[in-house]
Amino acid sequence: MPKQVADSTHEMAGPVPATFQQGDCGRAALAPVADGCENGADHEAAIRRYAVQRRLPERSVEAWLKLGAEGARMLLELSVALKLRTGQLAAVIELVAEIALREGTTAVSVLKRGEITSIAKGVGSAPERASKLLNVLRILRYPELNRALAKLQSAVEALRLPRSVTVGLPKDLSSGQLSIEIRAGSLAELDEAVRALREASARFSEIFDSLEGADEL
Amino acid sequence: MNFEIDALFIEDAVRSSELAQRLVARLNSKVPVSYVMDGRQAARPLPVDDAFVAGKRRLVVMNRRSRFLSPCPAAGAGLACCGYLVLVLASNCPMNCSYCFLQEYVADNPGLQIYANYAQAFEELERLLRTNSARHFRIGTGELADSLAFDRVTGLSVDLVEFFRRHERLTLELKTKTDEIDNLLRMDPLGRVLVSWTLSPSRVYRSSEHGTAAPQARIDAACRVREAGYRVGFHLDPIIAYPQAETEYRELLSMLFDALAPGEISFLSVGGLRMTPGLRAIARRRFPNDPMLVGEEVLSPDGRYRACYPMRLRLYRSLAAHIQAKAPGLTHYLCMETPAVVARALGTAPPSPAVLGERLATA
Ligand code: SF4
Repeated sequence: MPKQVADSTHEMAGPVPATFQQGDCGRAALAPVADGCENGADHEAAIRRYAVQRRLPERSVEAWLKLGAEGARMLLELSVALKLRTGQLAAVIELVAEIALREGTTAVSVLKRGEITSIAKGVGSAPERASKLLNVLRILRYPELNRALAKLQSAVEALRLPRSVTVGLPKDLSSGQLSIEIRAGSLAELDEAVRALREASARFSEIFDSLEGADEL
Repeated sequence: MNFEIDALFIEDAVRSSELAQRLVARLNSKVPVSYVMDGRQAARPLPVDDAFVAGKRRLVVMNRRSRFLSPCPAAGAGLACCGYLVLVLASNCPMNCSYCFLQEYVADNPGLQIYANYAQAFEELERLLRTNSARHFRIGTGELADSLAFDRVTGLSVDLVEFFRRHERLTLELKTKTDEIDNLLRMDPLGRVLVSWTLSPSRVYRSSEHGTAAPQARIDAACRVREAGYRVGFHLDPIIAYPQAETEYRELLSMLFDALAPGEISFLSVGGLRMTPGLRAIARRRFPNDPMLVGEEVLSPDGRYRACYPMRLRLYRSLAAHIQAKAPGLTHYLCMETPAVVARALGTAPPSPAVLGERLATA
């Protein structure tokens, strides 16, 4: 279970959900929010203070503030809760902004998605949940790419090739070329790997089709 | 279309050129005119927030110092090539498309340069014909500028059509996103001039192609020049792989084929959005609210951001199938992709640049 912060009554009383308040770093930044001062200027001041602590580049701070007062506040709470590192925070800001823009929605509605609130409220260490958050945001940001990638990965697994053969998908599915690596310490091992590859060739053609955007594997 | 100009700069050396005089006479008299020693200085970025846009409003008439004619950048970059030759008569454009490569390419000299010594370009073309006695060439002026955006005031198309109509083995391609065709309608190109339009679905036009003519207006203009004896072609470039892309690009093609029979169209080129990392950063900074700039692009082996391979291939194949079904026989080719991608997308290896070039020049 995440460590609940119950030792500070004024933080518990504020709009920040208790489950978000695990971290120490950032509590000072959250003070105006916790004190019930919810106007935009206070949020901005809180975010700027937190950004200074985190040494967040100004470009990211500007992008953060452009998420709107409510979205920016929610992201601050999330960052405090998951103890996002500076690079992670910058990536999250960018991803949330881009998802909202792509989908014609707001940062608030992105951050209120079940996949994200469940990470915010969920179990696991802060670093684990931070990396989960980034994964989920990347999937939302690149939905087709991730759908294709998941399909291809399971198709590659289904080939059931010997451990001496590794099939590599192109990085970020940026091209149509697979890489095949064979590790062999003897001619017999090499023969076995080649035979397995040959036997799998029909299923490879399905993988190539999928890599080229054919809908069904 | 009336593009506003803040200032006109004329290089001393071209003060008495026909082009400079035409511009002085035809531009709004409120536009201040300055004479400068070196037009390149006037084309430098101003110290303002968006120096690129400021440059688009400063017209500089000057001499071009380098060659006018060059091969298309695809040639020599390992990409399938259509044998297109580029004639650089101007640099930068008064419109403002969020994906435009000029944002990066002319960032250091965004002033809208128009070259007064363009008679030299005609000499280069004649030399090209003399040294290649059998080939037919397609020459385009729309690489670093829109071919027709300022035609109302420059009248360049008149000189160009006049030159090309006299040269049987040359085809001029005027490429545009405007409906500036009045000068063209007054001339008979004798079939040697092709006007091409870049087309995008309305959603892309609205979000990304600021200051351009609407897609329907471009198609209407194409119908009119076609009736006046020009050949017409279309570029679906860049194709942007946004969620509704497949449907909307097909609808766009249907809109096109409703207006023009496939036999009336010389060719259709298709090219996916590609951006260098530098261009992508500039475009996103300049157009932070354009959803078309946050697609599922990934860094491709050629160092450009492109839609990830499955999405790109699916879109190319879907459009190729649609074109094949609605306009069988229409010459259709992929632009700025490697021969391997072209072969996978269209099912056949691309023809050589000379063969495709000849076909497009005479289509
Ligand atoms: S019309 Fe062409 S040259 Fe002009 S801004 Fe748009 S993409 Fe660039």
